[in-house]
Amino acid sequence: MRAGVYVVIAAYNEESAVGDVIRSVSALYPNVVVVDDGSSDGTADVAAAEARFTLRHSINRGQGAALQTGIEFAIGRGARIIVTFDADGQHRVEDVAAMIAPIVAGEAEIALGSRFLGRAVNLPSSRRVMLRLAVLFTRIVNRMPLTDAHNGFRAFSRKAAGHINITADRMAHASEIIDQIRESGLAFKEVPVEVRYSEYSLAKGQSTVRAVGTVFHYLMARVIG
Amino acid sequence: MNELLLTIAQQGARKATNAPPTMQIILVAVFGAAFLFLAVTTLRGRIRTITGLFWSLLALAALVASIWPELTTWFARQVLGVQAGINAVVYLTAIGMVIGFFMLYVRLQRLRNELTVLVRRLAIAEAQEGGAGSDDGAP
Repeated sequence: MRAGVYVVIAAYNEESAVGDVIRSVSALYPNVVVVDDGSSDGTADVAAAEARFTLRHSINRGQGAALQTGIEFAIGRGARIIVTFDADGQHRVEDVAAMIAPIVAGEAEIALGSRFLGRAVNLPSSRRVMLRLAVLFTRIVNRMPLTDAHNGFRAFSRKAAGHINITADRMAHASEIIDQIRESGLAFKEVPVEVRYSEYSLAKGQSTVRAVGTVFHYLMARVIG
Repeated sequence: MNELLLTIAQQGARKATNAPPTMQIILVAVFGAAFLFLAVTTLRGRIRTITGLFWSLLALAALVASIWPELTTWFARQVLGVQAGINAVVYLTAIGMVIGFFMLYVRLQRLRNELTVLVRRLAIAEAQEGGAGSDDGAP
């Protein structure tokens, strides 16, 4: 089963963290696809040394663009299940099994990780408020009753991955994916996962100002169509 | 119409006592040249007809307003319900800029998306050429 599981990691200037992440994931799921999103540090070299597959964006196009690149590559490789996993060490490889379980069991085509059903370790209050607002936004705008709206830990069956076409290059892709899941009508399930925050991951995370920009770009994309 | 004639007469009276209208001459020259250039370019088919027509009409309107600035006051009062012509120009410019920014944003997003598709195809093609296309491509 594991041979058919591809773990896609989008990485941008993650030289110091991505090596450990790739090693931990590769130990259980060897088909790790790292998409270096035009990093200016040594991320691509680390990924090439550690990951089974390394793709490189010539220029930075954003996390959404990098994930779509990895998903398309994995589909082309014949992946049966595609997991998206953060490069900054926030996610635990132990949770991958729980994420793919509903897909393997045929209960769902898509699994969405939820830190609020699971655990959010060292999550600052300000970030918690922002994430809760994102959940509220998702319930109102995306009309999806999720407990966690912007968790990068997701799993797709091959069929579901074929329905996903991320066009929002940057962080607005999280809402776009939720829209596409709703429109596809495919069964999805939220799975409890643990997300561990560190100084590093918090520094790499989305600021409130950028979150406002993300909302703007997402709404504009909906207007433009 | 009576108000238009009155406005033109008032403007004329002011002109008689003012210094030479240097700014007006510059504006007429600039917008006149712009209109001629745009009209010729459009007629020669160097830009899309609809685009050329839009910019030519805009330049013509600016030219007419430069020659008879009192027309903007008449237009503002009679058509837009605004007291001063310059206010109407500012309002219309602001509206035009918002529309322009939106259209530029849409075009920029489309270009970004096309760029991403190109970058993606290149990345996948390079990975496949580099050995990732086979199962032996492991590090």
